[in-house]
Amino acid sequence: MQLIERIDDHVETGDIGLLERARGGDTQAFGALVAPRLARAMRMARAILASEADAADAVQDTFLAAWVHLAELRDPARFDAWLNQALANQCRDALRRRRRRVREVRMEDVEPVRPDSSAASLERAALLAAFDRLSVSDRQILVLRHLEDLPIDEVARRLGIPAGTAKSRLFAARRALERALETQR
Amino acid sequence: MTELERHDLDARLAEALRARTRGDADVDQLWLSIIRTAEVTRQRPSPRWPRPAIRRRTWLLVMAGALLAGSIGVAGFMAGRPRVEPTPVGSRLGPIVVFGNGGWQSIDPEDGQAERTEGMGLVAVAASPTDVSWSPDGRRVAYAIGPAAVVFDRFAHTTTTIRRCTDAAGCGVAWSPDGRHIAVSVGGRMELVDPDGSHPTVLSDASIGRTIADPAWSPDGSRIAYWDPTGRTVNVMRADGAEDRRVSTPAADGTLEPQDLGWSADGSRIVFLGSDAWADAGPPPPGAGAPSPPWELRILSVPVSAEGVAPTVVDVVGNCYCLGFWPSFTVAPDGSAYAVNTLGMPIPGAAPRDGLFIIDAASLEARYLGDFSDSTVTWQPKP
Repeated sequence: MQLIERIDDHVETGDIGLLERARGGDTQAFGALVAPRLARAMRMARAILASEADAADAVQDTFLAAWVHLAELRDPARFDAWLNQALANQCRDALRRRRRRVREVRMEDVEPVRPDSSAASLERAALLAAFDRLSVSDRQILVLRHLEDLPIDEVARRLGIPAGTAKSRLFAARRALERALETQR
Repeated sequence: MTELERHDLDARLAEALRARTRGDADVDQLWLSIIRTAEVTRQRPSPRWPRPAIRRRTWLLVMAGALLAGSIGVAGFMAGRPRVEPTPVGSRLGPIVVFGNGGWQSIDPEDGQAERTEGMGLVAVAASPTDVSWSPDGRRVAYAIGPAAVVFDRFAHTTTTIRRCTDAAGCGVAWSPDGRHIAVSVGGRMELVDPDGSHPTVLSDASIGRTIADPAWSPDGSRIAYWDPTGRTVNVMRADGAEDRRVSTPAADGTLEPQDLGWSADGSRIVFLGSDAWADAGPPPPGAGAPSPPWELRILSVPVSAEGVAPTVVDVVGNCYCLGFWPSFTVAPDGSAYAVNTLGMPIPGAAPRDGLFIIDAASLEARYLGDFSDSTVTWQPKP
């Protein structure tokens, strides 16, 4: 019994009440839901997009999309998974826009950068370059596991997938990172 | 790469990501911006049906009533009165059973009437099982819920844990057609156990990192189909674990994972719920203010004899973002019909509709049975 009862502790009881009120159009309740999740969402978006401005846009669009579509959330327990899915989609959109934007940048607009040539920095840059070649889904699960340092069960909860699937996706993401690193060498 | 090197890579990645995200973003300003914009942005109207929390309360009230009735029944039995046995629902096919929030409802496939509500021996549970499979006589039901796979006897009201699922892997369950075994997928292993949990036999132990999910027996009991979430393919193995092979091409990353594998009546095809963009999915088009483009939900099928072919579309059965709702699908025990709990079922000449539908496998004619919210749908064998 106890084994089973702990399954549905996805969203705090207070959050369920806030969700109900937010679904009724209460922006204060929505604000209370957003506040504790904002810094985490920003960390995720900054890690994936490597840009403070793009991350802020993606996070803002995510929460506003959640506000507009809150009535479609049929299981309050999946609120965090729903938000993470929406954030991943906003990050994908941001990366697509960035690809289009790159073509419009003139070389004279690009400021020269003085690279830090220490071995540690070069290695970190190579690792992040490999990370940036992964799919958004792969980046997202690696961030949850390694930046947020979450156990696999919590990673699964945040993504709204079974723990077994989270484990296999994490394994696949790490393999993809290894392959991306190997192709850089 | 050795285990030590992998551990080192994890640590270096964590350090690199911390460096990238170092420094406090101005979340206070961002919060203000979000809330101010929300105040001037209209929410989309709620769907016409009651909200889930209200439905949950309703369900819990029904459950409480059922529990009370059950207690009275037990008290009556103890007092020497004849015990009322659950009566099978009369229909050509047996009832469709929807599971959720710690209980189930039997739905008559002919008229959509909810015939009864029963508990599963799990009081005060607000979670739905992730996989459900009936014994061929319809007396017992195996289901996976969180870290355990259990068998519930609906007549004796006993619950037996048949397999502890590891914390990192959920379980899938499938009752064999002869009723003697239950196939349990856990992590990368496919096992057979007796219905009391005894005599576990490992059929397949995949390499680390691979997982096996959603087992489904062929009608003759000779093969087991399953979903491989790592390779993202539909696979099939013989019932003794031999001849394990891939049947479908890989589903594209980011598409709906196949749901609820089943078999055609003649055992020649595997049928399941999937989404569009099975293969070669490009980036989704920008959504018009929506979190993502919705998936088109499809009943798909693939021949068992195939070795890596793309599934064919049997029917289009909905359209959803599948963020707060997970569709559910089941094949009738005789293969003559499908049941799907979906959003946005296309209705010729009318607006798409949400809810539980029964679809004739031959004519693909769909009938609406009702709204059963987020529930795992199964088809109970006729006792």
